[in-house]
Amino acid sequence: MKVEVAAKLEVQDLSLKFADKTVLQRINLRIPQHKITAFIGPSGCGKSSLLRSFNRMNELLDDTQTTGKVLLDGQNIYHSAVEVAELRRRVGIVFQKPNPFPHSVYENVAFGLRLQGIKQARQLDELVESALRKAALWDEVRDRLHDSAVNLSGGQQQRLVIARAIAIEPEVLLLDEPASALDPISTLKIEELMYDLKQHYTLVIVTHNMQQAARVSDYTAFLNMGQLIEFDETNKMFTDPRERATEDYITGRFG
Amino acid sequence: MLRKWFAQGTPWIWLNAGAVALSLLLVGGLLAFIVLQSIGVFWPAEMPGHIGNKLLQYLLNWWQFLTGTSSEGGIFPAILGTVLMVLLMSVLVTPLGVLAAVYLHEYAKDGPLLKVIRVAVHNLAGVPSIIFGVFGLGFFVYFLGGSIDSLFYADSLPTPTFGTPGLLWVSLTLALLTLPVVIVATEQGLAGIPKNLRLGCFALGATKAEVIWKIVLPQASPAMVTALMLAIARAAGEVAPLVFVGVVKSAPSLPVSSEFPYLQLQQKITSLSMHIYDAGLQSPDAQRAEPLVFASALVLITLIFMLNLLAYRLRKRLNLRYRNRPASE
Repeated sequence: MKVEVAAKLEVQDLSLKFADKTVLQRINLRIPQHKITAFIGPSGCGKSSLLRSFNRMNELLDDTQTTGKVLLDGQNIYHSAVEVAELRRRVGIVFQKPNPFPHSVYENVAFGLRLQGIKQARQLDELVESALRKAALWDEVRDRLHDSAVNLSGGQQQRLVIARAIAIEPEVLLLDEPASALDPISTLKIEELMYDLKQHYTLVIVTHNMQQAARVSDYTAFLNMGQLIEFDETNKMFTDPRERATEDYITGRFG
Repeated sequence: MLRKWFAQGTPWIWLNAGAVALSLLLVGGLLAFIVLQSIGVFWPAEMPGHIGNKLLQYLLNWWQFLTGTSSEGGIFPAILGTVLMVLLMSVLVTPLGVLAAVYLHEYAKDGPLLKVIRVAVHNLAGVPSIIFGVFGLGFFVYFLGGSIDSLFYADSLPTPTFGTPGLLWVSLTLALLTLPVVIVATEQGLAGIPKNLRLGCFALGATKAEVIWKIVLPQASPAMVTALMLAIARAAGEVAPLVFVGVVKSAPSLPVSSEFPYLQLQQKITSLSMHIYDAGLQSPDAQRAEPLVFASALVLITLIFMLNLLAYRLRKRLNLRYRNRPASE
C-alpha cells in the first residue's frame, strides 16, 4: 500500500484494551493530509475506538489501556509530555449524536474560543460567524444566534457541533458517524460540508453507510474484529479490493 | 368476580390513591389546624367599635407580635435568630457540600474506599441530631472557641468570648448536621448530567477543571438549590442540638449591631422553634401561651414556605438559563 501524499497521522502498532477485552490489535496506518479517510467495518470492529484514539478520547472511559504510537506530524501523541487538552484543540471530534451545549447558538460556537482565552466581543463575533459560514449554517441561524441551540433541528444541531469544532481551527477533524442520526437531506448537507472542509483540514470519518464512504472519501480503511484488513484509495477499494473479506463486506454478503 | 377485580390490579390503584389521600389529609389537616388556631389569636373581640377599627387593631396586634421584643411579648428576636442562623449555615454548608460532592463524583476513583465514604455520608444523615449538639459543644465551643479565646481574647479571660455557646457555633453545628443532605442531593444532580455534554466539552480542548466549572457546575446548580432548600427546612426546625451550642429561650440582646462587624457571632440567639418549645411547655400561664404557640408555628411555616418559594423561582431561572428546560422535571 502506498500513499504518496504527506501523512498527517501515522498509527504504529496501536493496540487498545477495554477492561481486558482487546478492541484494537496492532494497527498500522497512515492518514493522508487534506484528504478524507473513511473507516468502515461491521459494528464492534473497533473503528470508532480507533478514531477516538487519535485525540485520546478513549482515556475518558474507564479502564482502557492503549499501547503503541500515534504520530501527529511526527510527534507521538501518547508521549507523557503531551498535554491532552492542547492535543484535542488540534484534533477535534464530532460524535454520532449531536451534543450541543444547552446554551445559545452563539455561545456554543464561542465556547471553545473562550476556552482559548479569546474575550474580545468583536473578535468573537467574527470567528463565530466564519465558523458558522464554513459549516454552512450561517444563513439558517443568523437571525437566531441568541436562541437556544436545543431548539434547532437534528441536522442543524450536527452542523452546529461541527461549527463549534472548527471554530478553534483544528488540524484534524474526526467524525464518528456524523450523519447516521439524520435524514437524507441533512446527510447530504453534511457530506457537501465535508467536501468543502477538506481544503483546510484532514478529515477522518467513521461510517456504516457504504455509499457514503464511496461518495465522500479519498481513502478507505476496512476493519474487522479489531484488525485493519485493508487500506487503500477509495476507488480501488470499492472496485477491486485486495481481500476477500473486504469484497464480501462491501457487497453486503457479510457484516 | 372479585378475583377478576383483583387480577385487573384495580385494588392496588385504590390502595395507592387511598394512601395519597390520607397523606394529603394529614398534611392539609395539620396546616389547617395551625391556621385556624392562630388566625383568631389577635382578634380584638372585646373591643367595642366598627369592624374596620377592629380589623385595624387586629393587624396592629400581628405587627406588634412580629416586631416586638421578647419582653413586649413579640417574637422578633426569634425570627431574626432563625433567619441569621439559617443564612450563616447556608453560607457555610453550600461550598463545603458542593466541593465534597464534586470530589466524590468527579475525581474520586471508584473502589471500596469510595463506597465506604459514600455509606458513611449517608449514615451521617441518619445520626440523631442531639449527637451533633453534643459534638458541637465539645468540639466547636470548648475546643475551637476556647482556642480562639486563649489566642486572641486572652486579656478578657476568664470571661469567655467565643468559648461559650453562640451564633457562630449554632450555624456551624447546623452546617454539619445538614452537610450529608447537601452532598447527597448535589451528587445526584451531578449524576444526572448527560455524558455526551462532558465529552463535547473535553473534545474542544477543555481540561477537567474547565469541564467542571463551565459545564458540570452550571448544569448542577438547580440541584444545589434543591439541596440547600432541604437543608434549610431541616435546620429551621431543630431545637434539641442547638440548646447545647447557643440557642436560648430569651437572648440578652440581638446578635446584630450598627457598627462593624454588624454581626455579633459570639452572641447567644433565640429561634422560632425554640420559642415554640419554650412558650408551649415552659410557660407558667398555659392558658395565655397556647394561642401564641400556634401563632409562632404559623410564622415558622410561613417563613419556610417563603424560602421554598424563593428557591423554586431561583431553580426555575437557573434551569432556563443553563439548561433551557422548564423547571418541571
